[in-house]
Amino acid sequence: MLPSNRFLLRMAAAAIVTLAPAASAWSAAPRTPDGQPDLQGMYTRNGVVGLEANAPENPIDPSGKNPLSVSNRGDGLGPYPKIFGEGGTVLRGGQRGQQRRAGIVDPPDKKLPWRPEQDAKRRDFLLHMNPPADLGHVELNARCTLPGLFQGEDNNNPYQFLQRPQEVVILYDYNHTSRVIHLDGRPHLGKNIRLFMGDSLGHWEGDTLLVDTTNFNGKTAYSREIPYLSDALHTVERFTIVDANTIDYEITIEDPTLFTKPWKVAGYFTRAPKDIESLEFACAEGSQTLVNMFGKPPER
Amino acid sequence: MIRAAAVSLLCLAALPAAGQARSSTAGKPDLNGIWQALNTAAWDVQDHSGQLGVPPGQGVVEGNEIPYQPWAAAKKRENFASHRTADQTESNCFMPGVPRATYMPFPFEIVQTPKTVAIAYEFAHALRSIPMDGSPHPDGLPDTWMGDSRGRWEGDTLVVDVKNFNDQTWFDRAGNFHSDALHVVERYSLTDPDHILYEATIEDPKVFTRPWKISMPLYRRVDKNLKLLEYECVFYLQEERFKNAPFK
Amino acid sequence: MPTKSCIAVAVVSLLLAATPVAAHHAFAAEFDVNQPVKVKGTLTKVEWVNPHAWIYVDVKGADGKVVNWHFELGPPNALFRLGWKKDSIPTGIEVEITGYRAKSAEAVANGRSITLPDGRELFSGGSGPGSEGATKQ
Repeated sequence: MLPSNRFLLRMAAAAIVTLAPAASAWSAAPRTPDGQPDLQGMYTRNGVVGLEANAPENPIDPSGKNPLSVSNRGDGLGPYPKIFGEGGTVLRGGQRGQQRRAGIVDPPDKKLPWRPEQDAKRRDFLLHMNPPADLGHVELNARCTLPGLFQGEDNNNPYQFLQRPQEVVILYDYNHTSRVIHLDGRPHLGKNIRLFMGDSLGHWEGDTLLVDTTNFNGKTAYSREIPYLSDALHTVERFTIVDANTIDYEITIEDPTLFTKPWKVAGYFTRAPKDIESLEFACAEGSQTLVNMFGKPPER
Repeated sequence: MIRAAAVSLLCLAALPAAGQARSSTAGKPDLNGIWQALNTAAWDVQDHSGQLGVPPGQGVVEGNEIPYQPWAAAKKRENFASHRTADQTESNCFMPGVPRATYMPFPFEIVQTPKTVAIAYEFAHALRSIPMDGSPHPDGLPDTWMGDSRGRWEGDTLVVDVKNFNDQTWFDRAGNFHSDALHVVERYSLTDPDHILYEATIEDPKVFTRPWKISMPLYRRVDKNLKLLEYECVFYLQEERFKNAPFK
Repeated sequence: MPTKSCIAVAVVSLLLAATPVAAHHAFAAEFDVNQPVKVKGTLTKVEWVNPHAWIYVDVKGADGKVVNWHFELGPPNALFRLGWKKDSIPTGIEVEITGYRAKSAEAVANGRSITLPDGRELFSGGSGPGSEGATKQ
């Protein structure tokens, strides 16, 4: 009998953590005219997956029990013909299979430092998500909201990194999201402005871009098992150019409402092949998700 | 799912030649920053009087006439009458298309690099990525709300050629519309460091008898530490429309 | 003259597919696993739009009435990058589709598999459509 997916993942994840060194910057990276290490271009994201130990089963994707489970399909696309998930083979080009850290790297045992009452609360919340008890229990990512943090593995949606003297800008194919990371030393926004994507301020430490993000609105998820992060969320991300085709990525997630201490997830971005461009992904315009779940709302 | 171990080649790219001069805007006018239109074209691109909820405005259409084919002029009148529900941007917060995104009453940010110009709009976080590499419009793209844009410099003017639209967007709340044959050519000219003259030529042989043109100034937002925020009206509408869900 | 240095590296390719992001979907909450659907009909329309392509199929019921079913497919950008084009799928062809009915809608389902009368899959894998038509071998 084959080992379960989860067992294999734990073994592999443990192997990855011990095998791979932490990011060491490529000090010969080309520079932009204003002296930033140049990370511009199209990339796919890999491995930034917050799969925690002793995670509850999630009702949206009860893999193995539900034929509609996205986990039952290698392309992650759920109940569509497989070809719809194969765009990733084009996006990743030759950049698969790097020996890099991926997933939760701190704590090493992947048991997230939940406040016990918050862990209980989210486990109960999950039980009311399929069918969703009300709008508040609909998976946030299913509402075509701005995604908040980088989540899960995404085979179909690349990222475009652009740089200006005072900003790094990331354009996401997914839901035409854009993130401006200000490098001009400005302060964070006042506390009464809350954003799905937060307010990102960055600076270069050598060849690592350090990004500090606050002002989240508490309406973003982290994974299928972590259906919401709070508005106390504060993240620190490290983007390190490690070679001509790879940016190492690590995020420290601090959410004192939910967790007793910060935790870290790692992954990496790899360059997409030359001919890949950003494409429009018009999420809300084509989404029938809420109508599929609840029926058509009454006329206003 | 674990893939088997494999040997792969890790190839380091060549170091760039020393002494390659690059400037951040490559000697072109600097359009970087946050901009906003200050007119009422979002309500009606033509001359219009005020009414409750609609500020009055001098139009942005050259000659103030939109050359509809006869069937399309009737359709425009229908649209105007039903705009509260029929305008996908007003009623559903869907992306406004081009050029309407430029003159929605929200700021937008131009991020200008030599290879790509990106425009991020605060309204519904609409986004355009404009390759500046001379590449043609790709063949066979799915229809898009914001079009496929290809940019080039003509002297000091950024010219953007946009096609590949669907037929779902309007030019304003007054029902001015187009088909999926829409073709827009935008021109962004810096008239001084804080003003852009924005012109857009609109062509759609299925709807109009000839091309027509709009133009307007765009004003640099000079507020200290300004950043694009989020106007996520799709989310706000969901909160309103589905607040008593489930319905069965 | 720029040179490349290539290092052969043994790697473990780890694809953590367990938390995939078909991000804007909660399939299990939208489609009803207790209502599998299998219909045969004529393709009347293909909408090559984001975030899903849609296909519309005229299905004749047992009562002789024709119902136009809507089937939701995956994101068309993925297919575009594989070489498929907007007008690749001809209308008027006969198809058999399986899927699951949307929890709240009558003639709406996801399109899990779409086969042609000769048993070939529409949207099967491979590179873009051949000149003889959109169907893939």
